Amino acid sequence: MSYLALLMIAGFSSVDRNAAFHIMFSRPLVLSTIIGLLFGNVYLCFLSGLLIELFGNIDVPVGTKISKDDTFLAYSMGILVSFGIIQTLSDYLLGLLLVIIFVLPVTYVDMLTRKWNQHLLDKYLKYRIYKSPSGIIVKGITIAFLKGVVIYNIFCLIAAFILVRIEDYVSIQGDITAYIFLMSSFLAGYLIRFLSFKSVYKYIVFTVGLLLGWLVI
Amino acid sequence: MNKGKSFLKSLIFTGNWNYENMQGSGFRYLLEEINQANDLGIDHKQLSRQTEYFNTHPFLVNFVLGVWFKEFVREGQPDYFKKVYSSALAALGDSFFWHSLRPISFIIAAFFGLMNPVLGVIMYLLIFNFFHFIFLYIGFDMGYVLGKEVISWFNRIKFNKWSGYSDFITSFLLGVLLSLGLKEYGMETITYYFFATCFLLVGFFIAKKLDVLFSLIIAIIACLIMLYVKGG
Repeated sequence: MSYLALLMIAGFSSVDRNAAFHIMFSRPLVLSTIIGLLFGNVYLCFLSGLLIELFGNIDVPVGTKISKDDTFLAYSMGILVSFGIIQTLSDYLLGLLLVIIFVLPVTYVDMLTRKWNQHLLDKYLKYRIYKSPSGIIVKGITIAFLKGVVIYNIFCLIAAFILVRIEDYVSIQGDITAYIFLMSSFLAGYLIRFLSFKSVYKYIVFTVGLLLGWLVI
Repeated sequence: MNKGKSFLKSLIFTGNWNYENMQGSGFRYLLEEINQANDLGIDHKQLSRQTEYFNTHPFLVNFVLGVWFKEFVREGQPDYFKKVYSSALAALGDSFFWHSLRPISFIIAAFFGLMNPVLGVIMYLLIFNFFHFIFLYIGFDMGYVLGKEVISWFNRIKFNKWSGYSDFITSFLLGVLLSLGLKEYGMETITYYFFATCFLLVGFFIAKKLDVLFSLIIAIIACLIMLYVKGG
């Protein structure tokens, strides 16, 4: 039953990201935390979501651009953490590295699904132009769902398989949370540059926030 | 017209997103719904022409739809204003929803989530979808009532400035979040704070120069090297 729920989550998050709804279920912070809630280790899943969300907010889907699939990243990290495949700090960093590398082929699949949609459209324009396009819309959503179920899980399983093999040889304990915030500070530097607010004020406001946070909290 | 049904359909109209007509199939799908509900009797030829290229921000599509209908009913230039508004609202929508609302929803959710992750998820969904749903829900009526003057409504609510206000708050909260994270959840050593500062500055300087995916890979490798050198 829980595996079925997992497949549904993969499918629905892919639909939410690529084809319909866009209710932000596919956002890393949301998706990763939900996986953590259902399968365990919610806090680390949440922190992973936080890190990946920073990454995702830098690479936004403007115009025709296909942004890197941070939904897959969050889904895979959520599973690796929740199912106990990630045990130590070295596992966490290696797992993240593997999953990030797999983002490239998964994002390429996004491009292929759009080409498939184009193929559906061509057929529709040729044979069914006077009918409602609801059929090709439903098919597009189904393709996005299948993409999540199949592609997300295949690459996640490959990452898990490689990680299990590596961790036999390399395993170093450490504070995962501390490293998450270390990488977050790197991505925060990135994000602040991408915010569309007047440069000088942006840095001043950010620094004030940094200082206030440090002194008050 | 059944507003609820129309709203739900506008949530799925991007199903056939592709490189040829972008959201064109979806636009026609929404038009057919309104055409049927209002018994407007738009002929097949006119409808099939709407499968042509169309692209806008998905949350603002109903505004374009409303303008199209208004122009159609008064026998104006529906296709001309569809083109004008689709690109204008695409730029406005991308700037607010993707560049600003998403980061601010995330930062606020992160604060709540550090206290309770479930609360964080709820806050994220609530904040983002409040704007998402409101714009989708009122879009058609606004577009239809104001017609080709619908841009005046966006000017009246100063929509183009929302991104700036939102980014101002995000910049401040991002600073606070980072401090909180490093102080409360990081290691209390000078070396750690030194590296965190270096990471932040490197992020500042290489942003817009190197793709974030590759730079994150480099950052993870740097962390792995630090870990192996330190030995845990």
